[in-house]
Amino acid sequence: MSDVGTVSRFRVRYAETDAMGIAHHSQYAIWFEVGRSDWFREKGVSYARCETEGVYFPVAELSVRFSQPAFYDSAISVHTRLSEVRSRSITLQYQVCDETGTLLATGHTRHICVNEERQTQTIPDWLRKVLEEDRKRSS
Amino acid sequence: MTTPYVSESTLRVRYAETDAQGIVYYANYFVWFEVGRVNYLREVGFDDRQREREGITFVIVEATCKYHAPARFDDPIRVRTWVSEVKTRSFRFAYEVHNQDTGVLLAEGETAQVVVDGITFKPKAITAEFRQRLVSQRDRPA
Repeated sequence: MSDVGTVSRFRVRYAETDAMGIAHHSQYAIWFEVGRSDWFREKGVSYARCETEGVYFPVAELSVRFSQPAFYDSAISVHTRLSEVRSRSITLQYQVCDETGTLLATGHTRHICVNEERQTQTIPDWLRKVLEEDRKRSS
Repeated sequence: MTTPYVSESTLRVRYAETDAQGIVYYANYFVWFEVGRVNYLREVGFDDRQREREGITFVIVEATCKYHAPARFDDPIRVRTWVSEVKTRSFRFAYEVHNQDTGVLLAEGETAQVVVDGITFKPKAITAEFRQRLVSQRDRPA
């Protein structure tokens, strides 16, 4: 990843660990959401605002590759960047690292743009401008 | 061509699993995959005690999910689980999540696991016995 995008920082909570003493793999999907929410907010369009404008981005696809475990209280950073913008979908990429800079996991989520009735819609112009601006900057 | 053993698990969507959209939050499908995976292993005779006896465990190195349709609170869910690949030190489970009443496919995914030593967590070869259980062709227990 040439562009690090947004960085979100938090510590692994005890509630996120499992019997193996590491963060359960399902938690990474929630961490990706933290990264995604911060990414939208940092671009000046919070995801909450998207929803009030009738623009929703449900997850159509999730993929995670785990390389190292995350332990309780580790300081985690999630690096989020937009990797693709299409007329009706977006893809975000994530890198999860610990405080030593060790890469713990990578992944992506693909989102379809839908309206309140969950019908697929073209990403509206006001939002597209923001997204494409970011793509231009990061390329 | 033999068909792989398919384990079927059923569950109902809990309110805690839904989000502000009124549908199941996407991370929860990995937990449902786990329900399917653990049931599969138990059904082929590999429960947690067996795992400890054999001194092996496995870690998830990859997980993917494609979401086709949303699930809602109290929906009856069926998770179909089977082994899609067995290599020297790793194996893959494949999953399908359906609405049990309508039969609609809600999601499908895979997880890849690497077998590791229970103490050192170093990757190790899948034992013949474990492999035999993973590729089990036997019918579903009554």
